[in-house]
This record gives sequence, structure tokens and C-alpha cells, in this order.
Amino acid sequence: MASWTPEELPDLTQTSCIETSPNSRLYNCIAWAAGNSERWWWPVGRPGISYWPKGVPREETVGAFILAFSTLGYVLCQDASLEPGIEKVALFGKVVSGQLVPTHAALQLESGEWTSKLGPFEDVTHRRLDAVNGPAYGQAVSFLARPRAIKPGSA
Amino acid sequence: MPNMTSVTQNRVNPAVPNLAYQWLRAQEETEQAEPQLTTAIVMIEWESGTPVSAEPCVSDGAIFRNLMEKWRQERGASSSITEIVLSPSYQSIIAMGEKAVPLILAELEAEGNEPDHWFWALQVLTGLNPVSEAIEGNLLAMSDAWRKMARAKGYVW
Repeated sequence: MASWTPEELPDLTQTSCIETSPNSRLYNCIAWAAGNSERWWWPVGRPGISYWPKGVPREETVGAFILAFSTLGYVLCQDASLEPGIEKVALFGKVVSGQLVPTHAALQLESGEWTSKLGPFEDVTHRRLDAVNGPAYGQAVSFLARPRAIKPGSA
Repeated sequence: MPNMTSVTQNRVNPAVPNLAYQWLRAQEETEQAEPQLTTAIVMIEWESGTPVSAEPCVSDGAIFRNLMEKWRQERGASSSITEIVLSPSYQSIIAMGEKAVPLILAELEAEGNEPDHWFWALQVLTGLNPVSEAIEGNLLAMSDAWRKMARAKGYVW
């Protein structure tokens, strides 16, 4: 049974996504998109609260999030389209008190579907990127890409 | 040895607990209080056993648990530490002050392998930070570090 509410994520339904993990408070969407399921990533200024890549400003701006993913080899790209051999991340944001603040990240799978960790809730796979649009996360505001890692034995 | 008068005064009217309970529940329904939060010292008229007044007593633990449940609803699917710690109920837990510390530590212990984001509140309330850079964001390790330090500082929960 889904943990999120329709008020938060109105388009994320049993028909638009598949739950792929139980709830976990150990990691969040940013960590999940970065390939880490053991830490909570967030740019908190106060030390001792959350993980953020060394050298990246601890500020809640889309720019800081782009820099965080750049430490993993990602660069900005134009859109969320599926490209062979390319792994993409979509950064989400919403306007709070007149400022755009980052809220969420989704990772594109080889199939073209997307995987999202929903805060402390489940991981889900969703066919449409905009399935996680809504009051909780706003909408996708930036896209990042890097070469997809070659799986052993796939050459 | 108590004299006969005081023994008589300490004798319990067997009807009192039930009458007091019924009276209290009726008060809660009238005032739409949250039943699980409210206990009360009920003043009883001795001879008739009639409850005449009550002073509500709400335990810190009950307040904490209630705020914690509300906090988890308020934060929803958010990943943002800012949203998580600025939610009204989380701030209300911080506003409980020092008495919230053992309650948070007990909750952290009870949460076991799924510790929640109590570290901001613990830092604010104690002025301490046992979390090294190496374990930042690793909530399991952070929970261990906090409980270890708290024990060393004499906190009991």
C-alpha cells in the first residue's frame, strides 16, 4: 500500500508506478539517483545532519544540486529523452517564497522508465517522468546526463 | 502508628475510580479533547463519591508521541531536511526543551535499523554533535553515535 498521499503526488497511482522497495528512512531521492542507498543526501549548512559531496556548496539551489551530480560525472543536457548508452537524472524543483528550490531527483533506467525514491517512503518505477509532478516535488527543472556504465559481460 | 482518624481518611471509596473515569471521559467528549493525551487529578466529594472538578495532566511522553505522529504526516514524501525540520510539529518537539532529549533518545533506540531525522533536534537541544564527517548522512551510524555520546554525558532514557 502506497505511503504517499494523493494530495502530495496526485499523478502517482497504482497504474502509473510500481513500488520496488519497502519504505526506508536510510536514504532519499538524491542519494538513490546518485546510486547510494545508505545515506541521506541534502545540502544542510549545519554539520552532522546529512551527506553532501565535499567541495559542493551546501545550499538549496538547483546549481548546487547540479554541481553535486557533476562530482559523479554528470553534465547538463537538454531533455529527458531516452538516448542509448546515456544515463540521465532529472532534477525537480518548486517555487517556495518566490525562490526555486530543489525537491527531488529521478533516475532514468535503460528501459526509458524512471526510478524515484519518495522521501522516507518507497522506491517506485514510473513510466512517465511527470508522474511525480505535484505539490510535493513541483516539476522537472534540469536534466543531467553521463555515459551509462557498461555492465560486466555485456560487451 | 497512624491514629484512627487518618486511617479513616485514607480509606478508599470503591466507587470513586469508576466514577472519576466516567466523569473524565464525559469532560473529554464535551471539550473534544484527545483521550489518549489526557489524564487528570479528579477531586471527589468524599461522602457521596461525586466528582466535582479535575485538573488535566498530560505526560511529556504523550505530547511527544502525538507530535511525532503529526510530524510524520506533515513531512510526507519530502526529501528536504529543511522541510522536515521546519515542520510545525518538529519545531514543537524542539520547543519542549531539555525534557524532549530522553524521549528522542528512547525513540531513536526503539527505531532500531530505521532511525528517523532526530539529529537536528538533538543538536539544538543539547548543543552537542557527535557525528563525524565520515558518517554524515548515515542515519544508522549517526543514531549509534548519538546514543553512545548521550550515555557518556549521563542521559538516561
